[in-house]
Amino acid sequence: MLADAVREQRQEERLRSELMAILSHELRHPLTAIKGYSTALLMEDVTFSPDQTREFLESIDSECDIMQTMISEILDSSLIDVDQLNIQREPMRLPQLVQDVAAESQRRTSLHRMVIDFPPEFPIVEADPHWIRQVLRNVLDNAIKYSPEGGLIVVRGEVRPADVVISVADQGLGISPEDIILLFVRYYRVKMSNGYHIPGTGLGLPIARTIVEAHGGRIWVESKVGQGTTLFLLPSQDHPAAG
Amino acid sequence: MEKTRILVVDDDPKLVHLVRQVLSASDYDVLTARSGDAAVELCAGKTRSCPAGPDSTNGMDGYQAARHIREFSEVPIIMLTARARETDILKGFEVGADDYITKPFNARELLARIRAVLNAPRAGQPARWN
Repeated sequence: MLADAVREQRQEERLRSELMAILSHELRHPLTAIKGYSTALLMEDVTFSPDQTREFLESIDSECDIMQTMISEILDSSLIDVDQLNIQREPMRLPQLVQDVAAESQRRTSLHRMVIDFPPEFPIVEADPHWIRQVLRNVLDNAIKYSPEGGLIVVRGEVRPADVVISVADQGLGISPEDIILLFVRYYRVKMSNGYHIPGTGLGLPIARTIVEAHGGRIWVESKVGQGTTLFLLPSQDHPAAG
Repeated sequence: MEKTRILVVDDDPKLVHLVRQVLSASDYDVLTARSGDAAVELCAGKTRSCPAGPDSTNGMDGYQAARHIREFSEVPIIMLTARARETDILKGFEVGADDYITKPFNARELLARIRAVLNAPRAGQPARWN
């Protein structure tokens, strides 16, 4: 018993120090761009063209979004830690929610194009819209981040006898088999072989998994390095064809 | 007058882009590299100053690159890095950096420090008092 308590405490300490490392390292990346571009624009003895000024402001804006996502993930993760993941199910239309979140993501990227493909008669599911929105955001965010060259991101809905499957496919870097298992481990970050720094906390998919599993669903990844990454999630369908 | 050439090295393309824009607008001739190895190779050519980030994930890191460059060149080196601990800063100076700036950085301060480093007397050269 004592050994278990000690192990648990050590684990907690390790997670806390990992979180501190993320805060200091990962948040510094967007902050560097924000501080660098804003102080550049404030320089009195240097003039930038209107195009450059616009580009700097767009960079500041998108780096703020990145920081915002990181902060939300850290907060969500701490809520999940203290068992405050309060799921309030209600009948909801997934295609509508997917439309909303994809439009939100589309505004943050000009390199990608979101394609939504849902069958016309998509059943209503019982789920918590707040948390399912968070799952979609995290998964779409990953699809964007891990396809830095851009391309199509296809969000597809499939109806099966006992459940519905949502897949998000990108045309990005893909992921190696050894990374796939670790994707859902908190704070795990995939190392890019081409030296790209992909910003993130390593919490997005672990949070998505906790939420999906709390709905009685399942989430997994299918991918090959250099080929589009596909993420599936599966909230269970309690009332088939309701509404 | 010929422009002063500065080599900017970092594995993060976004950071390289930012520093390049700031330096180009301040009338420097900017070269860029994505890795320590490439930086050393370029420095072995003809560069004037090498701000290097030790965060490189490919091959040599910034500290190693600075140490290598010091083996054959007295070119001023400024470390621009997220590593803000005292030991990191001291290590930077140990490997031969002339200055050390931590991220996030102020663009004005970066330019001021570059100017200061470029105007400082180099080892083996007498200081100019007038």
